[in-house]
Amino acid sequence: MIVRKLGAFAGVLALLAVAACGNSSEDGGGDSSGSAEEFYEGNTVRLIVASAPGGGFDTYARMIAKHIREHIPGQPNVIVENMPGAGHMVAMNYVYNQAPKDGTVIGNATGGLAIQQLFGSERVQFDMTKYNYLGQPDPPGNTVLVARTDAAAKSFQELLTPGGPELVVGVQSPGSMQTDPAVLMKEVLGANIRIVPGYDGSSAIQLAIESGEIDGFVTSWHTELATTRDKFESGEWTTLVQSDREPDPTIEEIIPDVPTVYEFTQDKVQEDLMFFGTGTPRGLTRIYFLPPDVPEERVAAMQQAFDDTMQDPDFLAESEQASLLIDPLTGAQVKEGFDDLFSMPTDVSDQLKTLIGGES
Amino acid sequence: MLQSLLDGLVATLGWPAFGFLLVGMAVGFTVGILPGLGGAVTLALMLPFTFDMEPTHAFAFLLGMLSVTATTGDMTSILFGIPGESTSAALVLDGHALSKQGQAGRALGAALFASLLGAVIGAVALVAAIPVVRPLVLSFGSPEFFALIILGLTFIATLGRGKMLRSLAAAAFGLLLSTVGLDPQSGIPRFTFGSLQLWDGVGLVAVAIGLFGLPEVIDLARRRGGIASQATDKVSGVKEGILDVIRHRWLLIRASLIGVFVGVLPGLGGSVAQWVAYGHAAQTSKDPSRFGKGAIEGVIAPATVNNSKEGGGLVPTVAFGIPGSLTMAILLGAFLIQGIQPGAEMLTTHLDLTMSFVWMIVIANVIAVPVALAAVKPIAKITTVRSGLILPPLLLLIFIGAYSERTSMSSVFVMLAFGLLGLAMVKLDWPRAPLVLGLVLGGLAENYLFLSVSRYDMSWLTHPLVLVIIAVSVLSATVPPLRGLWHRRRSARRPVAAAVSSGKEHV
Repeated sequence: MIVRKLGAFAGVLALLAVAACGNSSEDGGGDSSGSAEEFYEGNTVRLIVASAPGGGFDTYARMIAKHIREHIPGQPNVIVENMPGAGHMVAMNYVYNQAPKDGTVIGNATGGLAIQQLFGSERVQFDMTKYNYLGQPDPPGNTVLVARTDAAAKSFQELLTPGGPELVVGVQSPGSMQTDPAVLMKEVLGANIRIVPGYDGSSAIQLAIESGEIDGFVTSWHTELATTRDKFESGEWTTLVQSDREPDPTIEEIIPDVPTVYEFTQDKVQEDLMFFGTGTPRGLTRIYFLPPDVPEERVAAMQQAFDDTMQDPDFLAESEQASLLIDPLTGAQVKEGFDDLFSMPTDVSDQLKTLIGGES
Repeated sequence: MLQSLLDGLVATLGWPAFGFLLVGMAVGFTVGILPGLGGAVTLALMLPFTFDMEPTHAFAFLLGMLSVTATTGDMTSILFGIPGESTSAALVLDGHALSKQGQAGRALGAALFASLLGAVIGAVALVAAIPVVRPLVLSFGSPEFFALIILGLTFIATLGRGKMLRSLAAAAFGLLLSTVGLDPQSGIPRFTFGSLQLWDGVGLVAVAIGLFGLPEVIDLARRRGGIASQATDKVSGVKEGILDVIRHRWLLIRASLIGVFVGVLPGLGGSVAQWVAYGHAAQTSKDPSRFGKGAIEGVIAPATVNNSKEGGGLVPTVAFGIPGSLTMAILLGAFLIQGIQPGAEMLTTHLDLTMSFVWMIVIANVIAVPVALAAVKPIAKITTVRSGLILPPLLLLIFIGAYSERTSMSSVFVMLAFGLLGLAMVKLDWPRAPLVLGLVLGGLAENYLFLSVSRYDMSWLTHPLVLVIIAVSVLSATVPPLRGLWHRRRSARRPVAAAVSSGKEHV
């Protein structure tokens, strides 16, 4: 009796084991035989998100994961995996070096790490020019400095006034898109900013703002629109400065007259530093990509699937409901953005490296 | 508030929300039994199914699943000594010790009943605390969290009682282990020896399964009988376990409150709560030396916390949009996708929705626990099955558990390495719990210390709440050993009386 029960128990376990392994057994590498449809049918695609669950990255990724399935030939199962760490460096390295190169892994991270590669950081174990880019769902992120409205500093101008108030800014680890702009505002523009590094994700930073531990943080405006729009509408938080060359109309809608960083630059060098350090080439902050060396047919199928998802009416409707801004870039446009970045004049990149690229 | 409470209940019991709750529970039950596959992973996997559901249905499904995962994970820990999830590891210590003594029924009964009451008391405390949650949460910044972690570390003194140096050494090793990986402030790899796999640090599940699970399996292979080395005492079954919980009702209430407190504070996380409760149980016990050898309090406290913390974790998630744990972070994603904007309104105008979430957790437990209790008798018999039959599925559980933490073979190697270490520690009589505690708390301690110093320089040391918590830590570290010393002195003086009183404690 007991033996029979145990047998059944073991049987169930065996089944579950098979199921568990089935999810990740496609480590075979770039086997390119058969059509993309044959390959993907019944297969599982893992979407690796480089940040923790719950943030803007995760929200977008889960929305895309839900809809992209129908647009991939063979309609594979698509699951989201979070792989946070070191300002997205962990996931970026993983997708480049360890993920199977057969088209079953999509990466999602910030393209802001390209600058670390430009600086020749030892930690970078990838080459941004070699990923197969699928695109980006939202426009190049407009980097903004967000502060509590009851912080001592009421405007960016005040931060530049000698003897004026100090703004305590919480950031994650160095090298992330939330850190470098704060450093550049401090070092290039001379803003009176105290940088506190080491917060574990945007949730932790937001809690620290709520409790008064810090005054503000640097973020992408679109992320905030998706997650904390009400804080700005209620006047609890404000935006002190933005990195777009032209003021962003979606900011203007909520907070009038937010200056751009270029209103505070003194010369061309400073302008270049702010542009390459915080501006559009670094605004590729939510890129989706496949590892290098994936069979071409599958890359093409995935790029098509990504573009189709971005046009999918259901996807657009649900994204709107979840306050996710969709205004996509294609894979080719993302690639172009990185080509721009890697064509940065050497004197600018040398200066940038001294400011934000120092291996501490 | 009362109206919202009722509205929430009606929404939860309505059809088909209730049906979704049941489906969620069935999924949670299955997954909870598998080690490694925890509540967070299950939630993440099931999330896409909820995109098309209405909010109440979606959350009935997700919360039903989550509540049951926590409970069934405890069962794996007790029966096999293999932590069902990272949040059930503390139950291995005494829960499995009881199984080996043929008291699996009692341990399971106590754990399940404590889970149920923990969930209920946690929910009640939570509802009562809603008005003060906001100021409470906001009064904890990085320095206060650091002080709390220090308080948690003082439990090391109790966990390895009588072997103070060894447990300090084990805890220090655990702290050292927590530094493996990319350092959170500057992103530089530490102790990774060129291996990318170690960039994320050493996985808690792999370590716990290795340290506790593997030695159990090897020990079982060397013996002839089943897991229970002593014959099952038919009388002291489930009922005895339930009575144990009632007997230790104050511990139950304190553990529930610890769960709510740790759950409400974002930034400590689920793995911390059960160790704090376990340490607390050992510390307040008159005879802490029984802990690790089958003390029923060591089962009750962590089992209670596991379920009371879920309700606590919900509040900052809905009220601030700030998740306190990985599972809550995934739930937050579900909120946003469902178009529910977390914020202060969730505690005012949308209070009924928040209340329905609390109800779902309570109702899921109220249904799941009796079902599980009814099944305890046959399940507990597994511990009498001879080792030859039970070993293969156990080995499978261990390997799947380690692998599924990061879906990577590297976790299996980590598990095996810690299995060897665990064996050596058992053989040489070193306490293993302080090592895990060090690993759980180490990363948090480092990060909050760094944040405190870079924000406040040294002035954080004068924050009133920091001073209070540090003072409590000092008392917590010094009073129990002194009390023990005093007891020993007294018993040395009056041997007869002491023998009688210590005999009572063992009942």
